[in-house]
Amino acid sequence: MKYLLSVCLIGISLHFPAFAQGSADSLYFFKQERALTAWSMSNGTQLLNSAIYRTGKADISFSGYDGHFRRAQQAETGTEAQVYTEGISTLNRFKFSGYFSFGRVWQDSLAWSAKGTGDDMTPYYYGSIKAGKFERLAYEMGGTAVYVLVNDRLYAGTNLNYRYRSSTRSVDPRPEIDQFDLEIAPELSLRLGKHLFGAAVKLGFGSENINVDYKNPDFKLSLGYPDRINYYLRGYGFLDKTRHGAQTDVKTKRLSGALVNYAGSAGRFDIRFRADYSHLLERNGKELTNSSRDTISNEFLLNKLDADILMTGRSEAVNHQLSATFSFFDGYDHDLRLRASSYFYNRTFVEGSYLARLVRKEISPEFGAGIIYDAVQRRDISSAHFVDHSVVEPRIETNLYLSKGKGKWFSGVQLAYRIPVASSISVPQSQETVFTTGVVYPDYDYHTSSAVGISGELGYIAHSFLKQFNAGITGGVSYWSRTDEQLSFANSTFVMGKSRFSFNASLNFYF
Amino acid sequence: MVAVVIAGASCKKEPNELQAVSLKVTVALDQALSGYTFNLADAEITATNLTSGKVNTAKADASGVVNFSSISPGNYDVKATLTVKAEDYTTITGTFVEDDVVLNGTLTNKTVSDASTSLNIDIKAGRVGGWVFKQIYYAGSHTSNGASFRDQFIEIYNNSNEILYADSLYFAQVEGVNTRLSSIDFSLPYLRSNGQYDWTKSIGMNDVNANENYTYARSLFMIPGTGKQHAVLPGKSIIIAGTALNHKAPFTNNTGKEVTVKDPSLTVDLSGADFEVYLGDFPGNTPLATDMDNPAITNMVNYARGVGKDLILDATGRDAYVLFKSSQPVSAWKKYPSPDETSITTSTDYFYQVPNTLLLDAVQIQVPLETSRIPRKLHDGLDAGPVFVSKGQYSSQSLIRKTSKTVNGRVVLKDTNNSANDFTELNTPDVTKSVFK
Repeated sequence: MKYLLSVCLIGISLHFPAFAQGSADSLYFFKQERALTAWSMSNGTQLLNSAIYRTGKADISFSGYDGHFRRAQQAETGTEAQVYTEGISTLNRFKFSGYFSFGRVWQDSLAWSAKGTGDDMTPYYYGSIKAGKFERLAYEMGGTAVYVLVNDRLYAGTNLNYRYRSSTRSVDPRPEIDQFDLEIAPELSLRLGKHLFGAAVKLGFGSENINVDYKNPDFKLSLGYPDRINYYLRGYGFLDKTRHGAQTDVKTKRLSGALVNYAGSAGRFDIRFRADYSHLLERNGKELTNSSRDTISNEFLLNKLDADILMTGRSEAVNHQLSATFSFFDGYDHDLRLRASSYFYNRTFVEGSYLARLVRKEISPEFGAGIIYDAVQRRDISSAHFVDHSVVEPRIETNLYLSKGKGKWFSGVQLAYRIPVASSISVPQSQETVFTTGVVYPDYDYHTSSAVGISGELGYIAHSFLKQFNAGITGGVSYWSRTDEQLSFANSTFVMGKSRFSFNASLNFYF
Repeated sequence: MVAVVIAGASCKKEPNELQAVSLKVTVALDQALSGYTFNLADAEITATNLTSGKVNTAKADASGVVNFSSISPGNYDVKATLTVKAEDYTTITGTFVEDDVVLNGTLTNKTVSDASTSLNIDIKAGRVGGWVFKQIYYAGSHTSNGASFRDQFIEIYNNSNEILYADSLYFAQVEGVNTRLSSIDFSLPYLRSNGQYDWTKSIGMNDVNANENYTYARSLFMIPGTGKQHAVLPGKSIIIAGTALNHKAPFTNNTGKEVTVKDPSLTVDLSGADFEVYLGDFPGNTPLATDMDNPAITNMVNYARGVGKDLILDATGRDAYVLFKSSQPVSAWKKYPSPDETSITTSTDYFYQVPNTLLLDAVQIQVPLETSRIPRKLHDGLDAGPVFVSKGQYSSQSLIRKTSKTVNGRVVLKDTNNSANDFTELNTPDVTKSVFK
């Protein structure tokens, strides 16, 4: 299944040579065009509205990060090698988009998180004080297919996404986590003049098998190695020391939701909008191999609302792009042992950005600004851990595009400043645990730190590098530095550092 | 469209939100002490969460009450300790004591999940005797690099100021439930509320005080002697080994196979032990290949071997040990089957009923991990606090009793009938009898 899907999606991405709407590399040259291309591939309505009818791209990339200015549940260093391809194709009454990626990740010094993903939102997972190396691999593939039911009026489509991830750690306690998710979103789109409306339902399911074991039996049951104890983290402070060192758990996921889309234009503005509501139910328990039913010990429910808008205006002198994102997360658990909900998670994320590119024949400068507001609230009632933090992060950027001769250059610099705006923490001393001092306190310090970030990007696309297609290289670096010295908790067992650096480099092919 | 989506989001089911949990513990004197006026404000209460391992400690108020206003819901072990200074004890009770007296009380595996939970603990004084366990090496050493359980031993100490004779001193492992507390079906008719056996349900038992007044021996060994054959000076000790050999060196076992250890530093030389348990000739026992009989070492008299083919202490810590002396031969004592036995067959095991009044010392071992704890086999009056070696099974660690004080060069070991307070650990067992902590 996985192999078959991969072949199909790579086929969509690579088989059809690009022409007509211009060379494929132009869709990935300007930042505003990159955003439009990404939107076009997100669902059926946006794909239908896109002027792109054939394109393809493949990247071979390598990225990494290093630095001690981080959350306690993040790796100190990490590298990733990835192959990624995407494409859009049109065939008679069908239009397709697809993507496929395969990545391998190497992480070092990651503690307190035996998770398959890096999210810090979901409860019910294993973790230990001991930091160690992780190796992960991930396949992701998906796509959208749209069919014209009634010419210029009605369309049927569906969006499909499949993800598989595998993670292992090489020090005790050593988790082995295999997970997959499959989501499908059938959609109907209706065209009314210049306006295209879409509505979709979302369904999905997934599972995660978690095995945590020890190679060294001395670490398994002993309290003499407190850093090797395998904790079961039930929320944001409430934890169990596991009964045995070794654990085998299963997590099942059910997703439902709805999606509405709009794509159209008003005057000289191209307008795209989508709103997406998801309800995720995660059930955690033990797998019973000799039973038709697994035991369920707890659940986590997440309601998520996303709304995005992208407005692009073109003129002979300036191209503008305005984007805004709003995300709201509302999650809570249901602990069957307590017969109540103990962990509550809320997050509000808002981002707005504006880009203006001066249209020139050879050298096009672009200027932009943006702002992020991110507010997170965690309440763990069992352990009386109550944590709130919010930040505002304004940024400015400038990009430069040079198109001359047989090649194209692009570069960009971005400067951002993270400002904590409101925060509070409450943990009674009687409820302090190793998780409090190892994760909650250090992370609070991280989230309430002000920091300055600078990032840069440089890319080149060669028109005559290869005969069949264009090729290019892209590189980027990012550096964040904490600008305050204050740490709130003397008993934190993880003390974050001053800075963090990341980089990426890729070889790109445009078809 | 947006309204539809938002409406969908707002239709979610409201969660049943947990309430904060608090625990009130009230300490009171046991009935036997109820006429006295000890200052309960000196009592220290410890609540240990059996799932997270979080330990909270607080001092009681003048009424003996402690409020833990914010703790995680779960199952708790609660312990109360009151140390009464020797002069205060003498003044209040009129009974002269030389050392401070420690009153202990415990509650095991109590569920604290309501918004407000109240628990009561009675504290009582334990027995203080001349013979005490000084060192208990139950963990054994590494199973492939060391000697596994073959090198286990106990060291018994004369904690008095007079010569004691070890003749007819008994050592026993206590019979009881070894199931993890979290896995016990408390509705079983032969279990008490603490998860341990209810011996009143044992077939043939007609003593209503079968649980309170007796301990039941799974294995039972006695030091032989005529009465004054094995003198032990004050501050001196004796070692009883499972197999009294030099475990650091290779030896040939009962089947003619050579037994070696890869890392001799992990184990000990028990060739100098005072006594050993040899079960090779015990009726009905299939001898263990490594249960060697060292002719140079005096063998213990074996009354019951339990399930072991040698003196095998539970390396994981699911054991309790007692020392006692009796003027009556134990062979005449009553024996009872385990309370979970519903009928008597030829294979039914019987366990000696040992009166608690005879016990000289008792130590409850426990599993290190809180979530794997088993029901205690000894009640508060015998041992108020279980103890364990921190690195667990096959770690080469031993338990050693702490030093209380030194009187004219004689070391007096700490004996408050609370092993959690009385013992510490050695990373390498001591067989020279000269180490004190």
